[in-house]
This record gives sequence, structure tokens and C-alpha cells, in this order.
Amino acid sequence: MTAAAAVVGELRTLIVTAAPDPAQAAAVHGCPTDVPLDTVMPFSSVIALGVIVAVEDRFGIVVTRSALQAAFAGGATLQKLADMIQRLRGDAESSVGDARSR
Amino acid sequence: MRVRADDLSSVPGDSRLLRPAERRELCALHLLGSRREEWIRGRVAIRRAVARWIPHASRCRVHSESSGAPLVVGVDCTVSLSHDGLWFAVALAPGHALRIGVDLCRRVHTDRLAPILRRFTGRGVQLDPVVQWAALECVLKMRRWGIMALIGSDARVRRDGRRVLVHGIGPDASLHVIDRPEFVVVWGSEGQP
Repeated sequence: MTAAAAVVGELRTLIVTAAPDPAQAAAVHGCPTDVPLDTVMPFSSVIALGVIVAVEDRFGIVVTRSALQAAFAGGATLQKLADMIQRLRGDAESSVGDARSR
Repeated sequence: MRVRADDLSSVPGDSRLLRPAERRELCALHLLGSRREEWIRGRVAIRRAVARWIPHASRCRVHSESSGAPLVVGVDCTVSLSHDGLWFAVALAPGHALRIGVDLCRRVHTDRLAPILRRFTGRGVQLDPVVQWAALECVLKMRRWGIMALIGSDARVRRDGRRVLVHGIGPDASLHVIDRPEFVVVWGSEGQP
């Protein structure tokens, strides 16, 4: 399994866990990664931001305003959220690397 | 301005009740399962509110603006819609002099809202998180602002009996609130800018 696929898999679980009605969110387990989440489950602002809080905790990242804006533009998808996580993880790792090399 | 909150199952979710233009919009949205049904029920709930509250209203349909906000076509009125789980709220004002907003938030969200408010708003939790969230969402809807307008904002929210006062996110707003065991509804209106 690639790192990207693993992140998408974790995202599916986080989203279903963060939703108040897991049965309504269950479709996220099998939906394509490029489909807006709002089309497969009620993905209100509460649920979306709850997922972001859960993502920050799980992946040890801080989701910036610009990253959030990019991920939500045109409707959040698993792919956009996974790309955001990987980008922010990369940024976090490179900034740790920069700090170590100084 | 009139507001109604009810069980979503009190409104039929049958796509045959949609107007042709609404049906085309639904097809284009590619909604699945419960989301599709929720969308249909929302359109029907709005048209029922128009029929109930505007005497002799002509046949109308509901169109979604680019922001996602519903727009009634064929009858001169302004509407706002909110749904959460099994519940929905619809608000309606005659004419277009006012911009209006309504938000229904279930109490089941209480535990997830506190960390969200702490993380994404400048002042964190200031009162009952469900009331605070519904008030903030109501202001965003009234002004057709997206959720990004809330992130990092310095919004101050204060409850005063059956009203909630919101400052620091655009002009001050004084909103109505009702509490029910399962949910909170907040609604308000203001003049067009």
C-alpha cells in the first residue's frame, strides 16, 4: 500500500468516527477519492471542521488557513484532504530537518 | 419573518415532487443516498413554507445560488434553510428587503463543537457551544459568507434571554434563539447592504 493510499484509508475511518451519525457516513468507506464528500454524506461545517481537528491530532500537523481553503474549494474530497495532509506533513518534516541542520 | 423547525420525515423525499428545473439541478449535483433524499425534502419544505406563509402565492420553484443558499423563483420572498440529522428549520420573509438566516444545530454536536470553537475562533467557547455555533452559522448564512470567514475571527457571542448577540464578524447582529431538548435554532434578519 502506498503512503497516499494509507492516508486515504485513515481519513475514511476518521470521517466516519467524527460524524454524529456513523450509519449516514458509512458510504465514505467505499466512495471514490475524487467525489465531493458532501455528495455521499451530510458533510456540514461542524463535521468538516471536526474532521480537521481529528486530522491534526492524528497526523501531528497544523492545518493552515490556506491549506484549508484549498482543500474545501469546490467541495472537499478524500483526495484533496489526503494531499493536504501529505503536503503539511512534508512541510513539518522539512522544517524539523531545517532546524536540525542549523 | 416566519420560522418553522420540524422533523425532516414530515416532508416527503420523493423526487417526483420536484419541479423540472429542481430535478435537473438534483441530477447535476450527483447526490447519493441520504444526501439526495435530504436535498429533496429541503426543496419541498421550502415550497410548503411559501404556500403556508404567503397568501395566494403562485407556483414557485427553488434554485440554489452559487453559495448553495436557496432562492425562491416565482414568488417574491427570501428564504433560508438548515438541516441537521432528522431535523430541519426553514425561515421565510416576504420580499427581498431583508437578508435572513436560520441555523439548526443538534445537541449531539456539543462535544465536537467545543474543540472546534477553541481551535478555529479567536475567543474559543464563550457560551453553550451549540448556541454559539448556531449563532455564528446563522450570521454566515445571513451574509452569504462561507465558513472561512469564521476561521481565526474575533467573533464575540453573548446570550441575553431569547436573543444572541454577535459582534466582531461584520456588523453587530441580534438573533433569536430557541432551545429544544434535541436541538437549538437561531435565526435573524438584517437589511440588505
